Amino acid sequence: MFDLGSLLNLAMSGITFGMILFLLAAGFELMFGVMRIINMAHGSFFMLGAYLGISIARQTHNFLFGILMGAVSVGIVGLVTERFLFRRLPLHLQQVYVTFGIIYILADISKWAWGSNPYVLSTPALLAGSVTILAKPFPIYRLVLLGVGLLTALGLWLFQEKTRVGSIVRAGVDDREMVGVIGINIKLLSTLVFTGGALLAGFAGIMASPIIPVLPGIDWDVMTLAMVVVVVGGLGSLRGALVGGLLIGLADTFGKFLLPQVGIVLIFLVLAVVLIIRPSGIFGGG
Amino acid sequence: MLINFRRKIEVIAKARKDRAIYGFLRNLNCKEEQMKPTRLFSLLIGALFVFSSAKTVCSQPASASQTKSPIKIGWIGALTGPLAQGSAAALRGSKLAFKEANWEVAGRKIEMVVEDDAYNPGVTVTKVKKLLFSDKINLLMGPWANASGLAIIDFIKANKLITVTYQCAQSSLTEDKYTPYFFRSSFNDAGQATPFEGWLTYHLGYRKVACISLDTAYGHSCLDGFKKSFEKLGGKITQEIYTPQGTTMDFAPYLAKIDTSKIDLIYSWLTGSDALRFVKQYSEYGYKKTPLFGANMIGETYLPELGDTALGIHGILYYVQSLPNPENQRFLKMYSNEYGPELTKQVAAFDVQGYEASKLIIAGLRAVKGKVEDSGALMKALEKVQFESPRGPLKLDDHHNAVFLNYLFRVEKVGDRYQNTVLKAYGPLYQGWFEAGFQPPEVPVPGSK
Amino acid sequence: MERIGYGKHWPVVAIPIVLLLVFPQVASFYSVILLTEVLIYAIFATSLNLELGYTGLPSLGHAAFFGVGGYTLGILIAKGGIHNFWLCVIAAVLASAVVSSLLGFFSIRTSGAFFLMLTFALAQFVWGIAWSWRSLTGGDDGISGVSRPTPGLTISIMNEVNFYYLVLLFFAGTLFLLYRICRSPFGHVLQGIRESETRMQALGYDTWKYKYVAFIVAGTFAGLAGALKACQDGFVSPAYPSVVTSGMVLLMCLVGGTRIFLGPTLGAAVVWVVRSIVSSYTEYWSFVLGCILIIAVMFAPQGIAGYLVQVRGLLKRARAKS
Repeated sequence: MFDLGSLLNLAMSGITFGMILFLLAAGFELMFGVMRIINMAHGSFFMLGAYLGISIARQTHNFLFGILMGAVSVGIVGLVTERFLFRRLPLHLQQVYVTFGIIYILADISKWAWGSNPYVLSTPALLAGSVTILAKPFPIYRLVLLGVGLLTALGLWLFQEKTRVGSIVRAGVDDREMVGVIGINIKLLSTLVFTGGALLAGFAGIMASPIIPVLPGIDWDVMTLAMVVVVVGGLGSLRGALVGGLLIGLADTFGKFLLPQVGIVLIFLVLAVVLIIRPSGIFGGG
Repeated sequence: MLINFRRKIEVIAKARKDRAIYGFLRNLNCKEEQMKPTRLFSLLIGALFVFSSAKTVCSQPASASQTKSPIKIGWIGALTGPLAQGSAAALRGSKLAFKEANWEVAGRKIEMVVEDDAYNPGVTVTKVKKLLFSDKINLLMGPWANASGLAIIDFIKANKLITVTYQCAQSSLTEDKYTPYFFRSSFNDAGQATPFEGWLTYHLGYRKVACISLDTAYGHSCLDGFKKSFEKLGGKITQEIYTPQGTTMDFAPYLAKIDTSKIDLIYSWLTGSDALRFVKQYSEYGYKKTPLFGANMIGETYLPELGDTALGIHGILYYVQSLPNPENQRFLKMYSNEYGPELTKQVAAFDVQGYEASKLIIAGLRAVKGKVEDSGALMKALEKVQFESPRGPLKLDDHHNAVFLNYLFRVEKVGDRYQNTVLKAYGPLYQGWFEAGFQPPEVPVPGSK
Repeated sequence: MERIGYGKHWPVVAIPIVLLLVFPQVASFYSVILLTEVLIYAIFATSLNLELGYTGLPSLGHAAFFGVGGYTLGILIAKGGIHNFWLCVIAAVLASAVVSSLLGFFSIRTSGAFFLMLTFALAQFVWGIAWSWRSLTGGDDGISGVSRPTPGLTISIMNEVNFYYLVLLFFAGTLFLLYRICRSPFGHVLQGIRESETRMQALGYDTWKYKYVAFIVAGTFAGLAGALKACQDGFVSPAYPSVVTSGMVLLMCLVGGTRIFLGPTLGAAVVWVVRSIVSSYTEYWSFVLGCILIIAVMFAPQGIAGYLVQVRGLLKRARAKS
């Protein structure tokens, strides 16, 4: 049971789970970094992305289109929220409270639209099987998830480092007031960031849905995970989202394997330990 | 240089802000005085007062003669929460039976008040109090969750509220916490159903089993029941794996723990989305060589989602949709007329349990000619009820727990549909049968040719 | 420190008190139970507001102490067989004071977003223990059979009306104590910390200590609320320290208004009543609560209580003009 094949298998499971966490946390980091908003509805966006994506994929019998629409539709929800609700509210705290209210609203809308049954996205036959690595089977879809996660991380890094908009976002994370002083349209930036963050959350949701069935209640669970990853990785840092995601994913996987009784409490233990040692998270700016 | 500039701006901003704060603090005392809390308070209490008095005034006076006033039945379940689909199904079943009886018994109308406890036992207590004291129900149906049953059993006893539950399989409710006011037409998990699973698994020839269950009280009691019989008979449970309910995002680590080299069988009591995940990942990770048993996972609600991954999985349960007995065929037809073919495809044990509980009540009420107020007579009548249910013959034992047959079945594809096909029937089973040394005989499946 | 002279305002104080006392005699039985629950949640929410509204510490883990109080009382009565009401309540309050001093020690070093998340994580930890430590807490089965021992003077509180009066007593006592704390110099320092912690530090206050004490006081009263709720339900479960409960009490404060002392009480009444009544008509009561919160945030940022006060202020000015 502790042979190299099993360990590698387990590690890869942990890493792919970590990729889902990264996609989830990346959006959250963006929103917090630039807008100083704790998007409490992030888990709800994840859930909505999964529901919408699955429905669209089933209606159109197109897997890729479902994934695309899952992400995009949640992005639209984020856009609408930012444009019509956040704009009117001067205080960050108020915006956070609005996202809190959105949790309750989206929860019931989902329940009304999709009922209480769990939904799973069926992967096309091409991705449904498994490959054998070191004599242990490993699902192909998880490898796809790994690839997609890495590509997204790369894409986000390139966006931040190499594009003009990206550098504005980075500046916004560093010093919001100065960005406004320089003359950049803060309002537009906020809208862009919130929409992008929501889109990432929806994307995470639909990508994860073959592995994590979506049903009512998952919004709170996912928000919990997102918060843990973001705080461990460091608020406002995309690098933190990646490292935090991987760390929590691996800790969760190996923890459940080695100490199943600790099960639920394990990631909170990790969180508490990190916070006590380094309160701003691994890559946090403090 | 830029850094110095920034720092200067920060200091200036802070100073300005601080001056504002100082002024604010000075005015704080004065501002607080203006907000006279007590007037607000009066407003609050006055509003509550008016509202509740209005409610008292507006609630129906029990003026009409007793025999013609409606019979009020409260129905409570976990209509929101992780297992909401089960409660929703049971509600459909319950309503169907009342509709069949035209919502009346012995000339009195039947009214149903439905409440949701959101899978939270504290809410169950509150809602049951509301149903009894505010809605003035005569009978209670439910609750769903085991913990909810434990929460209200003392209340039921103290208030003499006749309760028929359509689920709530917690064994102690009809064992050490037994009260004559509580009736259970569903099953007893650790005292009846799960020991049979262990017994049958052994008698089918399996000797080494790995068990996976939810890390909840229900999950533990299922596994304990199975272990009780399986190990006593000589079988060996190689692993007991518990997964945290709902919060388990990823099953991979648990799957990896199962050492398939040493076992004949994996037995699972996972339900809901955990079951879905498990079965999917079980097939993805290539464990198909080891047989898998577990009725909860392959309930008809999940079969369409699982598709081919479920083929070949066996289960042991008291109801599957494909049961050939004529009452089941009649039930399914009635269900389809009422709720449509789409929902009928997903009919599983819960729908039937809701239906049975209502039928039990109707039969009892008929026996006392609708006099629900005579609780002593009603309880005696309920004890004696037996009828043909979609699951086969059903009656209650002397502890008010259901007695019924159990079936072995397997997932097969028939045409383009996945179904649970019945293989064998055993029983009838009653609470405590294993301790009594009973050997459930194999019997012909009712309705089979 | 100003004295609150109620001399000529005595009807304003007396009326609500009289209404509360008379309530059970005129209202329906179920309404009494509902109001008892509202009072318990009002204690819970007002305790949170000491942190949230007065000190500016947004806690998403307040239910942890509610749970500790509830479980302590539940375990002592149902499992320990200790049928002494005051002993169990005091034990519950002490237990939550101890746990809040422990959790507060780690939480207070952070603020704002970090504080929110850390309190959340620590509360989840408490929830996890409640769920997993089956032998002590019964796991998700919870602890049932929590009876209500007589508080003395041979008045049984199994009677719902008597229990209501007992809770009313606790409610009045708690609100009185918290009000005095909020209006004291200590309370003013807390508000100063809320506005600008650095300024208060510059003035020479050891802000860490003040925040820590506020946290402990808040946690202690939350524990009292939990113990009372356990008595009322006769049951404790992991739902008590869960994030959903933390969210609900936060919602109560926000809806009612965090800048007014009675805001959380009003919020508790609105949220609980809406939830109880709306849930009987539709299963979509969460939607209603979410809308109420968003409307409150957008149009009444100081909560419903704040809005009402503003309205009163406007009316007063209008009257003064004419």
